[in-house]
Amino acid sequence: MTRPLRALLPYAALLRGRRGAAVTGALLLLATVVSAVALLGLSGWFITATGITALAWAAGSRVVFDIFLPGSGIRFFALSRTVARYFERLRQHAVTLDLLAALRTAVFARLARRPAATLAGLRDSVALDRLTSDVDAIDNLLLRVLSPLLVALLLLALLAAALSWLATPWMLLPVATLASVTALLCLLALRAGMRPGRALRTRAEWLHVRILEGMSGLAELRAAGTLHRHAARTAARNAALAGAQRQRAHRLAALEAISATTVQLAGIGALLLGLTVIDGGMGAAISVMAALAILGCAEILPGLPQALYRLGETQTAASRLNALLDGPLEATPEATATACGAYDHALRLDGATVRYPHHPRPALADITLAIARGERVAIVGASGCGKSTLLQLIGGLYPAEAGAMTVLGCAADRVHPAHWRRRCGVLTQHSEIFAASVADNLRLGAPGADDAALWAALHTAVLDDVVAALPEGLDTWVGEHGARLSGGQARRLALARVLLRDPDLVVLDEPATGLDADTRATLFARLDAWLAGHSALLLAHDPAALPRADRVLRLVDGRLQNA
Amino acid sequence: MLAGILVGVAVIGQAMLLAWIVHRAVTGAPSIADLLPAALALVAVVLTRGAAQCVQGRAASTAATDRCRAIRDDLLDRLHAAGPARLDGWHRADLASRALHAVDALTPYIAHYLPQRILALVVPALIGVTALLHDWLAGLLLLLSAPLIPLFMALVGWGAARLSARFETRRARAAAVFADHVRGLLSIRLFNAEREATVRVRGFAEQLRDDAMRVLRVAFLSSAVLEFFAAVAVAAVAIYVGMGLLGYLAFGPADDLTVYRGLCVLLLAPEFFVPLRQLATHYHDRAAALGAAEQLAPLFALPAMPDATDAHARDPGNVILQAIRVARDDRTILQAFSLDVRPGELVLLWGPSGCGKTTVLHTIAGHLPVDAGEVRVNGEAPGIPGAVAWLGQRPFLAHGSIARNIALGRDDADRAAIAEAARNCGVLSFAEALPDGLDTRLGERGLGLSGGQAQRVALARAWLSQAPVVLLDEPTTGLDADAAAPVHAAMRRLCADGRSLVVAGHDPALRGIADTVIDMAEPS
Repeated sequence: MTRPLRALLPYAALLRGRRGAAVTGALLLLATVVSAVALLGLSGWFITATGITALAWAAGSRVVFDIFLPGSGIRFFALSRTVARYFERLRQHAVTLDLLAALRTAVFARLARRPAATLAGLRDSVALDRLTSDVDAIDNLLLRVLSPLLVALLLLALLAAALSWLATPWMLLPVATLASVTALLCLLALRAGMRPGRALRTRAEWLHVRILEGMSGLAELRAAGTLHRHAARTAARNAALAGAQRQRAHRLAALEAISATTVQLAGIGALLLGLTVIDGGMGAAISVMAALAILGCAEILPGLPQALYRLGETQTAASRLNALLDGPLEATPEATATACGAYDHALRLDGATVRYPHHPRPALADITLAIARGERVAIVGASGCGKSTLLQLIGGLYPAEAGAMTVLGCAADRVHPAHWRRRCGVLTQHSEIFAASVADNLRLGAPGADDAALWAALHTAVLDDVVAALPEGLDTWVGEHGARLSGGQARRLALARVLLRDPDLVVLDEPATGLDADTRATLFARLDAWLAGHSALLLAHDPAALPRADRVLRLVDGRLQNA
Repeated sequence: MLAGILVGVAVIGQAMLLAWIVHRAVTGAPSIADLLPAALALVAVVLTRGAAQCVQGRAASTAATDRCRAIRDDLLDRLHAAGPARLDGWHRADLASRALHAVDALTPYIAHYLPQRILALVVPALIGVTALLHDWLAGLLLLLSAPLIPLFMALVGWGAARLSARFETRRARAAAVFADHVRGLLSIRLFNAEREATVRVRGFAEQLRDDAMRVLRVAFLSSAVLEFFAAVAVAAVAIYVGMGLLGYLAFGPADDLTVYRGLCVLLLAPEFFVPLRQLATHYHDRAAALGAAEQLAPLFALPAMPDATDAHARDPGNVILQAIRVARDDRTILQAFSLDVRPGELVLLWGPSGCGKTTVLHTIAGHLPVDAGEVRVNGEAPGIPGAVAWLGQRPFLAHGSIARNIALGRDDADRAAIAEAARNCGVLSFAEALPDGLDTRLGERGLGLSGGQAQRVALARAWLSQAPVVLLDEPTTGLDADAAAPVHAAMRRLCADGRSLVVAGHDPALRGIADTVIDMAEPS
């Protein structure tokens, strides 16, 4: 049982830097529950004791009863519970949100150094959704589990000590019983939650894939007359997910009810035990105090088995996240040589060969190519011929199996790609638009660029009129939850981002996708002027889809030919 | 709901029995054996309470999951009925994520908040009346404090509502920033901007934290008000009862107080506020559900595709558009457009993007209604299943094998028929070289197939479907001549089989294989 939980360890470590805040939160939680328990116990004692005293007075006794000390105790705990609860909730949420920020940053920073092949898998929307919901699942539970468990333990220990001192050591019996039954429930819940937690996440993902297929293939499925079958299967998966969710909710309800009933029974047990074993006039009052104090534990105990049941889901999330994050990392640029020399050729490839694992044929075979400084070379080829691989090779995302490459005077086998990337501008076929303002999207590649430079780049990319028409111009939020750009507009924004870098070597893959003839002509005219003096490699399926080039080559099945 | 009220009744019974046992112990001091029947009754009540609590939780969650399942089924039906033309402006991934997550966000609202809204009225009322019967002054105290609570909560919640709307926007943005930057990590790496991007991800997450804390500081005040009332009520009742028992209070019902009455009222005082406190904790479920409902509302508002009900004599392969007018979003796209396609004919709709080519295809497929004119497909109204086959610009490929993709949901399709369709449309020529042939599995978006190969799979699907009319949207855009040639050949073979093809495109090579070219750029 402990082995699967090990998946959570790297995330528990995030708490280490926030130990102070986490401990404060836990102490505030302890103060809250202790106040609640003390308020109930003291009030119960007070009323029973006053009743006993009143009876004694009626019988003629002149017993002295101080009502002021217990009275002010009751008022104090009433106030301390409210105040402690308020600050505890505030503190815990601050720590949770802080952890979420730290977790997102840590996951992102780690992913940023993972190999390109891992990252390419995250473009798939289902995989990306899995990653984000996994991160959310982890931040949720560290504090919902760790802190209450610790506090419950402390509370029970304090209660046992207080009751055996104030009442009778016999009170250890109901408290210990309560503690062990709760612990048992927690262990059972932890064990029972593992498999359903995994199943729940898997079913949600299956449903996600199905829904996505239905949305993407709606026209085809409908025309083929099979939409109703697809819909029926989606509904079946929806039902399966609902079944898993219902099962979890049922188990959580049962766990809570059993746990709460245990607290009640322990309270009753303490009362009967107290009435039996405690002698003396105030015996009943002390018994009531013990009983109500134990009933006060309902404040925290019934939530524990629930939290542990949900740990199964968290554990699934954590191990999936670990699988993504663990493994080899790219070297940092600082760790390698920076020896980039002067160069005559912006790009030189000598017999470069790239082969993907499990693929019989190389994606690029024996490529020899030299682009002189200031030269403009076009390579055309059908989809799947190796253009994207060539781009990944030049960008340093994927290494060559054989042959040599020198980019801007940096020899690829000796220098970290970061050293030539910072002087290159690469437009891939998947140039993403980020959820950010237009300006921030552009400045990603050129942090210091001023607004005039942004507008100039937008002009070259034939996007200045579109951006000027947006409600907040350069500051308009684009991407998700922002203004929608058409596919062609997004593509040109990505192009403007590359041009803004004013790179020494520019590599553009299908720069004119999704453009109508007029826009394309304008774009090519402006690009042609901008490209003067830049070394450039232009890639497309067809020479007509590219601006004018000095040379045109063909890439066929990973081999370079003269056009 | 009834189980929830039963829990409330059990709470009352439990308090009365507990108080009675203590009362007997204090006054009569009989042996423990005399208390046994009452103690057993108490245990029975506690067990009933636990069982009722469990039943209530189960019933509420069953109702909520069933309801959300129905909502999701209904939503997917609506999206399917809206059709591909109406969904053009939406990201497919966004739609799928709403159908999954936004619907899930409704569950806690239905399971917890809705029943609690009623329980928070009924159970405190029951408890208040019981307290009233035991000691009218203490009961009155509780009942009078109850209406004050919503008042205070409303005052505090008023400010929080405005803040939380802004917080929701920030939360969604911070999540989108994280997801977007992960999706675009390769671009970020090519820009050497990993550090820059990490700073952005952290910046948005920290901004979210700071914003959230501003909201929560106020939002928690409303529940603190409740907590305060609950705590003060317990303290006030305890002190009132204690003083009353000692005879220090000479007013109201204090003279009649006994240990039983006092303890019973004391035990009921905190329970009086429990349903209200639970309502407050479920209040954020309501906010989340409202946010989700806002995401779902535009999807439920999408108009459905026109119904295809009147079926006339079949005239397979014939497509007739007569002076149709189509407007979308108040913009007229087609005006007095006519078209006549005969069986076996390949008609090319020619023109730049935005001239209405795709709209013509959507109209023939029945995805869009016409505002004027008439549409006849195979002699029937458009939109009848099986009347047309559709090939999108980026062919849709499902998870599964090539054969499964050719059959697309036709589980009864004959293996030989699939192979024949594959051969006629040039799928076999590349599939034979793959390790598993037609059983080779394709990933999401059919990774592993080139654009031309994917188009050929889609054509084989059209072949197998036997649809008399095949609609193709830019089938060879982005393909070079070598990749386009087998696609063109497969299209001609479909014509030779007697199907009529309507193709939207601006690829010059298509003009060479078309029987008729309709130039959409010129006003017709």
